[in-house]
Amino acid sequence: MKTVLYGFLGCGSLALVAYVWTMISSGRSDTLNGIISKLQNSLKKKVNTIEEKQGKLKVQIDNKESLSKESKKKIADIIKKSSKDIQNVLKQDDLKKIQNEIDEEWSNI
Amino acid sequence: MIINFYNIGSRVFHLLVSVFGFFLIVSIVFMFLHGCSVSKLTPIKTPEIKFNPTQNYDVKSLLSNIKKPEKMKVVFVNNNFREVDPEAATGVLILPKEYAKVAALLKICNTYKEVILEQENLVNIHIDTINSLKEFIKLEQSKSDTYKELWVNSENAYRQEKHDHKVDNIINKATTISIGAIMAILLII
Repeated sequence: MKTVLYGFLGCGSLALVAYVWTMISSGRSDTLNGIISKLQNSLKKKVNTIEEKQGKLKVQIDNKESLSKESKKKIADIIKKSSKDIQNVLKQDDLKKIQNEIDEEWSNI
Repeated sequence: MIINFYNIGSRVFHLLVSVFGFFLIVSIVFMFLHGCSVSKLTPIKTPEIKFNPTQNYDVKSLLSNIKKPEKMKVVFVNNNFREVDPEAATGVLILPKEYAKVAALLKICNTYKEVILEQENLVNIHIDTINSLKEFIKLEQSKSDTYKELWVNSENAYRQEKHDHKVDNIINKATTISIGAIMAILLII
């Protein structure tokens, strides 16, 4: 009879220890999961913010690219126009007009 | 005509039980399937960012369009405005056609000035682009670090979970074996 009682007592103690252990570890696991979940979410938000900033930068870079193209076109236009004007000046034989041209260009130097 | 209320009631009852049973089974199956399925991680879709390569800039070919005037031809004269050698000359005479070359040279000079000023603008645009790209790389680095942190956290959580699962398994096995052993001892006694 005593052995049976001891047996039951042993089983009960073991079951209690197992239950308490599992309860503690699952509680700890839940807390840990909660913390990690929050941390992961904040990190995901951080990634989103970074990507938004990158998107804005990309737009800025694209705008600069188009500005650069415009500037290159402007330079080409300046050279083209100037080339035409130089040809006209070289054909000129009216001294007054030549002098006016020189005066104007001189003031721009 | 005698209406058998007992039979009608019995049939309705059976119908209700069947419907309830059907929904109960469906619910159990659904819960079982839901419990078995693991929610899969869908990664954040990153927006596609593509930079087109910038073409090389060539101004030399453009400048070659400007026709260079020929060398000026002047007449060297003395005080009486007679043509002399350059060593003996006290002045020069220039024909209108030659004088026009001076105007053309001044125009070329001003064209170069305009081109330089516009090129300053162009260089600054490129500097701004480079700075934006530097900022972009910095953000990319930061994003990479954040992803690394996410990965480390997931890996650590997975390892912790694996460890806990292992411990739980050991406890469960130990408990089962102990109970089994005790039961066996009891049976023997």
